Amino acid sequence: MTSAKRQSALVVDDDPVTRIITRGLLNYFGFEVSTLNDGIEVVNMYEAGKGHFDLIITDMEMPVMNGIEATKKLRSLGVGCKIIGVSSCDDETSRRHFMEAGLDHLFYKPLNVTKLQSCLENN
Amino acid sequence: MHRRLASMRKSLLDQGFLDEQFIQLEELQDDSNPNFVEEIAASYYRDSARQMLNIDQALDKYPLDFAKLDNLMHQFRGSSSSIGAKKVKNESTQFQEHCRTGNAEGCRRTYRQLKKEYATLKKKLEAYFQLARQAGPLETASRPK
Repeated sequence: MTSAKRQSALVVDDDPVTRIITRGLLNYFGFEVSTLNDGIEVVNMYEAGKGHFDLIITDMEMPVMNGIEATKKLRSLGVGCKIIGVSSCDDETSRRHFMEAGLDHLFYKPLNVTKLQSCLENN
Repeated sequence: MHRRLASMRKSLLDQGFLDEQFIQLEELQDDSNPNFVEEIAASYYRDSARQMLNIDQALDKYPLDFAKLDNLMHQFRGSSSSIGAKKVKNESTQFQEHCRTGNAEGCRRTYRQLKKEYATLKKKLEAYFQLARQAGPLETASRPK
């Protein structure tokens, strides 16, 4: 009996606690999960042709390249997978810019299990 | 033993040390990942110790760089809210308010309280996880398809 191939997800966040939690959440939903610490790393990965994920979850504020710039860059590289942003920032302008960068969804931190599940089920 | 654990959990919630986020994290635990929440808590205490060192150093400077303090505390608050550390998160929010109004004494006072709440929660979680390990895992709930 063959098992269905698991979908792959990438978590991009400079906070190690958030990376562990988000990885755990995505494992729970059946994803194979990788993690990176900064927007620049995910952009470098895709520019090198090594990025092949079904889902990317990215933080907004990161030290070298933030989530807004990383998302814009990924979309300009033709990355078509679902990209979900997460942020604890309340500033509506920043959140709007983040969405406009090319996100499919934007959630407040901490990630809510039910909301994420609903988002992942509605493709 | 599971009843004691449930009672301890309820007490932590009722007293405001933890919030619903912690419960959501516990629901992700299963046989393949039985110590998930303890692993998260360990990572939190490791990383937040580093963050607090940075905050300590920033508070030693004169004059205070409120923008920097606000940014440091923003990161710390994010980690704290991720594990459901409610009182710690609330003190972090208060600290950031003081940063925004340039209230140095408010920052220091709130930070002292934050450290107390942080240490108290650490002790309570250590006791909780010790009991959880003794109790062993509950029956696994079915994963979503």
